Amino acid sequence: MNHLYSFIIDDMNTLKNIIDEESNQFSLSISSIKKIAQQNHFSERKIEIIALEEGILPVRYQRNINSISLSEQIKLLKSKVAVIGCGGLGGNVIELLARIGIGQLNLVDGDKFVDSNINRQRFCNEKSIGKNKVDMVTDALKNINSSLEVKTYYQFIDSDNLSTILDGVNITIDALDNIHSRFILEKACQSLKIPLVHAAVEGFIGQVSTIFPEDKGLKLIYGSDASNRQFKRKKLISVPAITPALIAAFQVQEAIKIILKKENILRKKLLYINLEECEMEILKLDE
Amino acid sequence: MIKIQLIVHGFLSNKPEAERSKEVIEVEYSHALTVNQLLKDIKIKIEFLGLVILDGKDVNRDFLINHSCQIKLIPLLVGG
Repeated sequence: MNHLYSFIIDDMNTLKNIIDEESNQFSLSISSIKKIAQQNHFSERKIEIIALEEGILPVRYQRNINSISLSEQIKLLKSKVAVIGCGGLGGNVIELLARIGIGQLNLVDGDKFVDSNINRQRFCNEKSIGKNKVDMVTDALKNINSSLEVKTYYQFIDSDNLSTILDGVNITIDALDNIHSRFILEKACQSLKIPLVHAAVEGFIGQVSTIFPEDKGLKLIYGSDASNRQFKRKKLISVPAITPALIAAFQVQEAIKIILKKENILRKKLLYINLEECEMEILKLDE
Repeated sequence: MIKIQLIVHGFLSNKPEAERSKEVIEVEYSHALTVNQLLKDIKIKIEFLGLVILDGKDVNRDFLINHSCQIKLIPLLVGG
């Protein structure tokens, strides 16, 4: 055991030296990270974490700095976020999480892209129609951040599969399109003690709220009979691209604040935005 | 006299021109009443109603309104 431990330490010191040699003063290019990872059989994410711990900044995160410190960037890289739904909200959330440097994503969606998704869903294009959303999103992410480690679940959530999907996850993002599934997700998050960042959109209106496991959560927003009420709605739900793009940004900001233990989280509050009216207000939810 | 200004957001409104923005309704009562009673009196798509915000705070449908106030009616948002 001691021998194995010292081997790992030696290996890590060698790796630190390689990173140090490859770095340009205090930064490390994307190509250098790829080269070191391939030559030393480590993941790119691992190389980025070691570099940051040595005070060397992967250039990919250079424009995060001053908003996000080196130690905070490490926390993001060590975090795992589950995004439930890869459509309008989910697609935008996923891209932002990938660019900011979240380390691991669990992506869930049982749908394929269809023509009507293209007006708003970030990873839907004319070539991806008919294909699984999770696969298309994963392919696109490889070109945005190859350090990102992605697990995909081509399935819809239910009370049975969520314990696997949410295993080891730090934050869950609600990017669902129906109330019934949202309540199932909230219940699983409560049971697994995972914070949930909720959002929903319609027209030019959107809402965001952060729910901790001990909070009353969705009941305060939708009421306890909401699952039944939803089915009365027959009208096609309008979602122009602008609304999920904006609301997704707020969801990602909430996730980052939770991971980095920042203040001013939308807990027991609902951020309500009407884009067309240029209105934004924070509503206090009744306990 | 209790004066209530209702701001009906988005598709809760029955007026097509207000569906994408909001409708303002003003009503007066000589007596206190619950939110539920008020909702019965005004013409909105009540089945899509989410939050009821009275003077900036979320209230239940059985909340007793006994003073002049502003109430915002927030629709139930579903899409993702």
